[in-house]
Amino acid sequence: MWLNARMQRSCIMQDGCCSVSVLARRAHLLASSLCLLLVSLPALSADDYLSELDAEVKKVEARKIDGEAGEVSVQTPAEVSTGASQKQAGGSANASRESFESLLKKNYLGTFGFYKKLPERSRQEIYAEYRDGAPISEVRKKIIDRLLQR
Amino acid sequence: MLKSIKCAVLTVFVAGGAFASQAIADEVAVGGSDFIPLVKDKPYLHVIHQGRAIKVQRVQDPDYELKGYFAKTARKCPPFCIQPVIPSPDVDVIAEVELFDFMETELRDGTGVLIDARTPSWHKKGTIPGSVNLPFTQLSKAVEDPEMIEALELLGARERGEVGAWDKLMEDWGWTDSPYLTESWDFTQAKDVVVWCNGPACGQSPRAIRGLINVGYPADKIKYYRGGMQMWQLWGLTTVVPN
Repeated sequence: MWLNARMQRSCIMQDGCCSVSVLARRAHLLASSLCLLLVSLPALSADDYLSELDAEVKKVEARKIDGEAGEVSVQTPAEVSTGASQKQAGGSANASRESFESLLKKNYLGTFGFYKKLPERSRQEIYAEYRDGAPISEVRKKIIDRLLQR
Repeated sequence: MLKSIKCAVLTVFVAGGAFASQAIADEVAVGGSDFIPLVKDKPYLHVIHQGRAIKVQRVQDPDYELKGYFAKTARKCPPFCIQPVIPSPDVDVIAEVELFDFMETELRDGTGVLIDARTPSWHKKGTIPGSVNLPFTQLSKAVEDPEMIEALELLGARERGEVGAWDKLMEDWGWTDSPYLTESWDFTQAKDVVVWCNGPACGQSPRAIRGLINVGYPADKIKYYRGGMQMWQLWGLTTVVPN
């Protein structure tokens, strides 16, 4: 709106009248100039971006050689801790089972109710399966099967 | 009457005492006040990574300070500019607590996928446990590209094949409930995905997210873990080096 007002004033000053076609032409010229300006700004192509990413990875690798790895708790799947030799092994096992029970209670209240009805030995077995990576759906099914003694 | 009231009061006191004793036992069990849990009441969690159970926990040394690449405060911009919080409309942004929840529920159930959207050279250096590497370069391809097709099928989407003219008409007019259907793909059974990369100054996962949305992946099935590897390491959380 401000732009149109300025254009109108310039039209009036020049020839005493405002021509719509002149205004439209000037607006078009301005828009085209803006587009050209945007296009001419340097844009990062996909290849450039990938090159920059590769360059960054190399920097990290170089640092690692210098001993500035900075990784935290990096472990390969082959180095998964069994928890047996850890200082807090016994306590951690209990805490982890509590964590499992909290998860059940929070997300699957009905199943948690069934779980609480099971004898302690069954609960330990159910938890052992969960700890070894069984999906929660399978664990829930097992709880119900145990309760119904299937 | 008085006797029954006394019994009730006694029961309450006994139950309360038992509860307090259990709570104390719990505190001792996690190693006392020195133990640094993931969040309150969650000391750690387990996820499956390449077939093995990985324990995700925090570094227990309160004096530990992060060093190295992910401790840097700035990198060249562009291309490593701070990213907007929301990479695309309707995509939820999550942080660590929500990610832990996702890892324990959808990821474990198989209804969710945790995507490391970085290039393989980054992924090989270490990743968040439970992640699969689907680089943003793959997730930015056209819908008919074989790599994109492979990714979509991995994520639970199904190619529709020939769609009858009548079915198409019904869909176009909105007479069938088809929020997860595109012309060529059915995303009804597509998994919930959490996408991440190197952190708030990394553009790889935003590109991956936009690539997925461009081919019709439902935005409400995509979550962006903006913190990425930088925040994951800052919190002292477990990473794994893939085989």
